Amino acid sequence: MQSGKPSVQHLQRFMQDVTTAFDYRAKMGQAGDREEPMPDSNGEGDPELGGQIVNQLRYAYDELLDEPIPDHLLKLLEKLSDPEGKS
Amino acid sequence: MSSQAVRQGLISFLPNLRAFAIALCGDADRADDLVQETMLKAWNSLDSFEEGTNLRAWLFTILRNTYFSECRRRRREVPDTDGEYVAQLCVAPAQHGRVDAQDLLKALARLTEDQREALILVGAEGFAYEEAAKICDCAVGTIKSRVNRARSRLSELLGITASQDFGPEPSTEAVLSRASGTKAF
Repeated sequence: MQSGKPSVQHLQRFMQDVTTAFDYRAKMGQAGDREEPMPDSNGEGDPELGGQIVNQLRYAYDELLDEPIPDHLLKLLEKLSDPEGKS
Repeated sequence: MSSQAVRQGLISFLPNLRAFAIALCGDADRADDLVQETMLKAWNSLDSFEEGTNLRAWLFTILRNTYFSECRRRRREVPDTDGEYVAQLCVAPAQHGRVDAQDLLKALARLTEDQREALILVGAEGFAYEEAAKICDCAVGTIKSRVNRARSRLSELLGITASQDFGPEPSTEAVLSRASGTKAF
């Protein structure tokens, strides 16, 4: 049975994976930069107002993105990627 | 696709999956369960992922399908719980300030589920309409229409009726204008 706290090696490996993952996202063009223009209005409403609303939406959504990921999800990910955990 | 590549994808998209889940269901604990189930399903369905296609979109599809399956199951078990919950939510106007995550969640909870997911995917996550349509398994025009309706409804719920609502408060504006030597009306 493993102890509750991850070892230093585990954390180092995880940080390395995170760095690799960011490189991976950039390479795949999926870095989440959200360069997609404001949704077109289809002629409905005020486009400027629509843009403001989406900006507000993104600002608030960024708060959710910045929330720390719970440990149990990170541990699950680690367990899944462990070759012995595939089963 | 190699399990290592999926692992990297899962790590990098985990914050997005979790934010999407929270915005969809409005509850962090339930969102974590959804993300956990999504991770397990993705891991167990690696064979069904077509290499060269969009891993992020694939993961989001799994998550939203899981969410809607769960919603259908909940409705059968406990009728209208979501409706009662939503009815209790009061959205504070966001005038003269920025909308924070709590305001957003309250407002999103009052949109229909279809509108909510379309707006988050396109407006917040930055998916193209075509990608969002694939994720939601509907026509591109349907997604556009849902986004537009959601945006209009959101502006009503947040009390945003004009672009100026995001400017400084009238008193602040007056002080700023006075400082710069102009009149504020």
